[in-house]
Amino acid sequence: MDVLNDINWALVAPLLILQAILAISALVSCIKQKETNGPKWMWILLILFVNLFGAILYFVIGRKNS
Amino acid sequence: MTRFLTLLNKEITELMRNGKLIWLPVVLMIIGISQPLTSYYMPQILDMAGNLPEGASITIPTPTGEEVLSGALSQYGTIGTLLFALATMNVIAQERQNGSITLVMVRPVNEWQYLGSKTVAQLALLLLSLILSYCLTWYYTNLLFTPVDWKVMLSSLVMYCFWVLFVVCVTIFVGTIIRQSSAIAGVSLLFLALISLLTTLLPKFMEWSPGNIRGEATKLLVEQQWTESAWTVIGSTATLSLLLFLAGVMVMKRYRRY
Repeated sequence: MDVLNDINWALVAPLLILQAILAISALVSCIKQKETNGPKWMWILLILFVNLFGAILYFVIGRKNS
Repeated sequence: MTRFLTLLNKEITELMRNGKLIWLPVVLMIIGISQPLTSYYMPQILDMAGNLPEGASITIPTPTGEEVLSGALSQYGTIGTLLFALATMNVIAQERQNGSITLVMVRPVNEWQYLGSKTVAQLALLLLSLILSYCLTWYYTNLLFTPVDWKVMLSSLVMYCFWVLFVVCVTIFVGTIIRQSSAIAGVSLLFLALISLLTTLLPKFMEWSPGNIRGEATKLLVEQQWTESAWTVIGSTATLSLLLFLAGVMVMKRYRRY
C-alpha cells in the first residue's frame, strides 16, 4: 500500500472535491424532482456508484421536464 | 433589444433550473484536470494495473507542458464535444415538446431574438466551462510539468473556443429541424464526426475545415506562433457558424406550427 502514500493528496484532492460536488448536486436534484425518467431509486444508485457518468446521464436523460 | 435581453434572462434562469450551470463546468473541469494528473502518475498507474513481469522496465519520457495541454485539448475534442452536443440538444426540442415555444412566439418576438438568445446563452455557458477547465488544467500543468507561457495558453484557448462556437451552431441548427432531442444529438455528432473524418482524409481540400481547429491549436502550443492557416480556419469557422445560425432562423420562419 505504499503506492497510496506516494500520491500527493494535495494534488488529487481538487479532483475528488469536484466529483463530490457533481454527485451531491445530482443527488439533491434527483431527490427534489417529483418524477424522473425511470425509477428514482435506480438513478440514485447510478449517481452513487457509477463514477462521473452516472451523474452526467442523470442530468442529460434522467430529468423529466414539465 | 430589450426583448432579446428578456429572452436571454429567461434562458439563463432555465440553465440554472435544470442544473446545467453546475454539471457542465464541473464535468469539464474533471476531464481537464485528469489529463495532467494521469500523465503525472502514469508510472504508478502502470505499476498498479499492469501485470508486468518481474524486472520489466518501461521508461516513459516525461511530457512537456505543451504536450499535456494538447492532450487536454484532445480530451475536449472527443468527450467534450459529446457533452457539448448533449447539453445543447434539447434547448429547442424541449420547448417544442411541451408547447411553451408557442407561448413565446405569440408574443411580439421574432425568430432572430428567440434563436439568438438560445445561442448566446448556450455559448456563454459552454465557453465559461471551457475557460474554467482549461485554466485549471494549465495551472496543474505548470505545477507538475514544464511551465507554459500564458500567452500561448490563451491563444490556443481562443482558437479552441471557435470549435465550441461551431458545435453550438450546428446543434442549434439541427434542433430547428428535428423534434426529438436524442436524434438532434445524434445527427449533429454524426455531422461533426463526418467533418473531422473528411478533414483527415482530404487534407488538401479541407484546409478551411473547422475540423482543423484542434490541430491548429496544438500547433500554436508547440510552435508558439500564429500562422496564416490559423486565420483561414478561424475565418471559415466563424462564417460557417453564422451561416448555420441564419439557416436556423430561415427554418424557423417557415414553421407552420411549432
